[in-house]
Amino acid sequence: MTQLQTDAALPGPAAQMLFNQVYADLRKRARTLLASHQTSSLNTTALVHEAYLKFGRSPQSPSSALHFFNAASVAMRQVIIDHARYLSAHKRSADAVVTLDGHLNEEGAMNVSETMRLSDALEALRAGDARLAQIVDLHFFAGLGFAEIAKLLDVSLSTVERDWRTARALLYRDMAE
Amino acid sequence: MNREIAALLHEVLSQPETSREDWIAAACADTPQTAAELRELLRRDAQGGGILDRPLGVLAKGLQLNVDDPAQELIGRRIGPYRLTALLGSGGMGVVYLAERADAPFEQTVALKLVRSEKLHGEAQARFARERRILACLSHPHIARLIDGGFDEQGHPWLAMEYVDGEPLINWCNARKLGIEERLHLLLDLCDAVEYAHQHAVVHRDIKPSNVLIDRSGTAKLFDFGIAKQLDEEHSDTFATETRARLLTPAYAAPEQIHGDKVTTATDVHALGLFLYELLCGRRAYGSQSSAQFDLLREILERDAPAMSMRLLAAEPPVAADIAAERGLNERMLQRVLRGDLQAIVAKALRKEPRARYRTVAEFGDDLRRYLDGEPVLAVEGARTYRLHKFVAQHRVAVSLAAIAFLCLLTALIGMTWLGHELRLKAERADQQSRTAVATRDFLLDLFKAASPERTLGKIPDAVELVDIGARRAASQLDAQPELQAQLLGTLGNVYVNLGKYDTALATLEKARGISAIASGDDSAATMQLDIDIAYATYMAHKNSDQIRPLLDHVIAVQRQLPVGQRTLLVPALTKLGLVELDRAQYASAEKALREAIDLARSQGNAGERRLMDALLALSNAFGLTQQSSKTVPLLREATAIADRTLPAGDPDRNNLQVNLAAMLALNGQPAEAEKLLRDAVETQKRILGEQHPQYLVSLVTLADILMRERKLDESETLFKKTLALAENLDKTGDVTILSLRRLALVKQQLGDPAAALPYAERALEAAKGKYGEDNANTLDAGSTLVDIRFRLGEYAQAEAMAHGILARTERLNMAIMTSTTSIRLGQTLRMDGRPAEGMPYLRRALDTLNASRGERNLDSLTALLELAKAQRDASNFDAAREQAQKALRFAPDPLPADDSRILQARAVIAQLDYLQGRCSETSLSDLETLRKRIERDTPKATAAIAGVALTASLCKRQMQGHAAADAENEAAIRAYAKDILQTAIVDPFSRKLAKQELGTK
Repeated sequence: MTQLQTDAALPGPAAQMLFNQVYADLRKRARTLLASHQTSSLNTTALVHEAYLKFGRSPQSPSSALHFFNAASVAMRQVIIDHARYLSAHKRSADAVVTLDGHLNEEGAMNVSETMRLSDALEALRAGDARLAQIVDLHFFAGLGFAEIAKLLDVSLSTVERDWRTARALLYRDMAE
Repeated sequence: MNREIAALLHEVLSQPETSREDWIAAACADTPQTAAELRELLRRDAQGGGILDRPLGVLAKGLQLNVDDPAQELIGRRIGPYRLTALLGSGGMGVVYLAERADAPFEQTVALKLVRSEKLHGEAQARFARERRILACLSHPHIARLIDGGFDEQGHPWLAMEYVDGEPLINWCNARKLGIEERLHLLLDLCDAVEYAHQHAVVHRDIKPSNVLIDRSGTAKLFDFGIAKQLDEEHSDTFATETRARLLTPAYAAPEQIHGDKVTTATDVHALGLFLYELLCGRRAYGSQSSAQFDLLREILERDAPAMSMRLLAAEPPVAADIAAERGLNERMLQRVLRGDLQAIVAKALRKEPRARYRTVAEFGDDLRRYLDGEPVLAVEGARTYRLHKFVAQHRVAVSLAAIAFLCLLTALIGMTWLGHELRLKAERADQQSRTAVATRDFLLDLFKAASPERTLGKIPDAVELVDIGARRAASQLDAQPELQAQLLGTLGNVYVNLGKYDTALATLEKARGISAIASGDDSAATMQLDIDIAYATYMAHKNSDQIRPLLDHVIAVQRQLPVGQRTLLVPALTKLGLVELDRAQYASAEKALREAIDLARSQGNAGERRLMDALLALSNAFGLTQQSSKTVPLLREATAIADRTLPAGDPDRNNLQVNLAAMLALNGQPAEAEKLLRDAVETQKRILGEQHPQYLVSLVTLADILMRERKLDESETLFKKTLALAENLDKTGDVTILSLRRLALVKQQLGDPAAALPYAERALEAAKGKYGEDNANTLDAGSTLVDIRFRLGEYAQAEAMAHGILARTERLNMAIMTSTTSIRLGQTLRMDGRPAEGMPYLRRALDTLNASRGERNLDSLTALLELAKAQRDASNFDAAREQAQKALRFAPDPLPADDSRILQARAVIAQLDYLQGRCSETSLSDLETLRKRIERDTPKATAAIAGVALTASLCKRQMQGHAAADAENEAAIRAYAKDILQTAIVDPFSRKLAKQELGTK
């Protein structure tokens, strides 16, 4: 949680409170869904929008919506990365994951290491260009569409799309290094 | 470094793909390393497929465990008697398979829904069981049937439903280029299905295009009551709030669903409205292909759906011409269809507030049928009402204005029948005012947004300011649009009428008429509407009333020459004519005009309902004014039924009618029904408007009035105390405060406690003077209540002075009935003060006036006769007294029963005269005994009155026995009665005189 407190997108205590609520809520929802074995894939977009409905019920200004989705994307990122970190720390080996029925799962292991590398690369990117990192947060972690992001940030759709491609290319390169 | 390379990459990516290499070569000619880096990044960009290109959910899932899709795994397995053959999809919390009957000799394909979750079992299973129960109840040709259900080996529940091999209705229609009419018929089938479900207390909650399929035979089927729920299971769905967001399809959600408010049948009406919208105009009402989800939600909550004809032109594929072609039309024809009544129907179904929509799916369907039959649709009529409702909801000032007008009506109707013509007419006009006022104010709202409280720092502009601004704007800014200018000025003119500024009103209306005549012609509907308005304003202003009739006659004549379908102004013109005739006391011709208006409005069916309601109310007023209140009841019942049908609960007009009906029922000896009706109305208003609402208060006052009539005095008093407290809280000098004070004084009077009544009456009078001025019926009424109380308290001098003051005003204001009632009271006061001869002229005049205006057999005349008889008796004009008393006796047995207390009093007066003239008989004795018993029964505390009658009886007895000493017992009684009488402060002078004679002669 340390990095959250330095998150530029969340200035005041009110925002911090919102973040805490959103984070707890998303975490709970994501865990419930992950544990249920029910959905074939976790619909994170729906999760975030659902949380938006819960916390941002009344129509808000774009800037408060931006605050919300910033908080939500950080929360989602935390859910995923915390989890990967937990797996890598508590399982028998750092690069193998045991499924619930005890079988070794290669792909799971790969996901853990890939997630950790993404996390590192993203923090490096954030240090160099916070805006690009924000696009990644909003698109990848909060599941927002480009049009939605464009509206939130008040920039053109093509700018957002190019930002995303730029960020993605940079991240892929860093992760490969 | 990173930032620079990012900026460069961003730049490269904005170049067309083919020229990127050239761009890099040019820009990085001196920095080959940067060029290489850019080329490497471009390669990464093109590569894709990494962790960032898969949905986060896939990653999340991968981090936990990885199995094959469990849903796919089950294909081929047997569940109950079915074998799963293919996956159809997953929705809600279940997975749906195509399945076949495995054990039967016949083939049966079903859609089988299986709940797979273990973790959510508690909620999901309860819901599943509910779903199954609900669906099992429904059997309708347009609802996909539930065939079977059970639990699999692991205890997972499943449902087998009718499998429909078809395609979504809208796609199906488009593919076949179905016309508007055919589409509407299909939608009506769907409406039948939803209405059927509603009748079984099932709300679908998720009607959307993908849930409505057309099967091979061309039959529409409604699917997936997946999140349907029984209305009466409202409280068991804590789960629904939690999962609401996930289950709902935002583009088809109703505002109340997004808010998480109560979902009702109106939610399905909204969904059907959206469905109709898309079916007709080919686009969804809300959102666009690129719009963000939170924008969509906000749009649904805040913005009215755009008009279909506008939406059709949206810059999104498919183009409007293609959409029109899919409906077998060209673009212009489709535009015309979308702009017509269907737009009004859609808009009504899509209102934000559930209560403002069609009340039921059946009503929605009926309006569509009316459209198909070429009849006027209700939605068009309703649109005006709706806007004004919004206004009323937002502006309490307006509401209280309407409430004041309404209150005046009540005072007249319920209040005291003796309040008099003038007040009644005023009230009746006030009722008209409130209706017009409401209808016009919403229009103003649209135009004068600039003056709305939000923009004037919270100050609510007063109505006059608002109108003045409007009038200036209209006159100065709208020259280019004479029709609108005329319409606006006309509206403003009507508002001035409602505000009582008749001169300004007439000037404004005449101006509007002039403009309208040039713009649209003398005999255009717009101009003639203004003629009607001018007639009405003139009538209200009590000016040139002989000019009103020709004006209305002209409109009526012109209207009669039009084809039947175009006589839109005939009903309102006739209704106004009826009102004018009523004002001129031409009851026969008023009734004729109003009856014609009613017949005409009836023949117009549903479209004329609101006008029918107005005409019915006017006719009921006519009957009310001519003392035929029994005839008002059926009229008001019909009008109330229309209001119940066409207006939402809590609508001022509707409540007004209900309360009027209750008042009339109370007058017509049906107080029990009146009480019940009013109690219902009060409850509804309390729920909808809250206890602070002026209308609620007015209804409460009316209820208390009826209770007073029913002589449930204690409850009535309690209620009036409540209305007083509530009303003082709102406005210490408001109408309801004053009315409550007046009524409390009356109730205390009737409870035989004039001393307690006095402070209420005094406060009422003070407040009324301050609020209405001295020359006002309300003030005068409060004054006469005070006269009554002073009279009861024996404060004759004060009562006399006040009565004179009231009389001077009522005579000047030409208030005949109030003049009469006050004259009677003054005559009574003077007699009680021992000056019977002085009182007689007042009584005689009251009697003459009453007989002339209301016929000889009205009950106020009886009171006057009786008082006159007593005055003559006290003035020793025995023969004249006897004559008046005999006349009074003729009121029995018709209209009064022989044992009515007034009849008994008349008999007693005759018996007293018998005594005074030495003609006592057994009849005299028994008449006096009967009266004594009656007084003992009704008012046991009135000991002096009882003693007075008993004294006369004993004296009669002595007279019949012939000598004083014969009956010692009777003599003792005489002395005892006489003492009692002389010891009482307030006593009838006749009794006092007899008592004095007895004790004095001793």
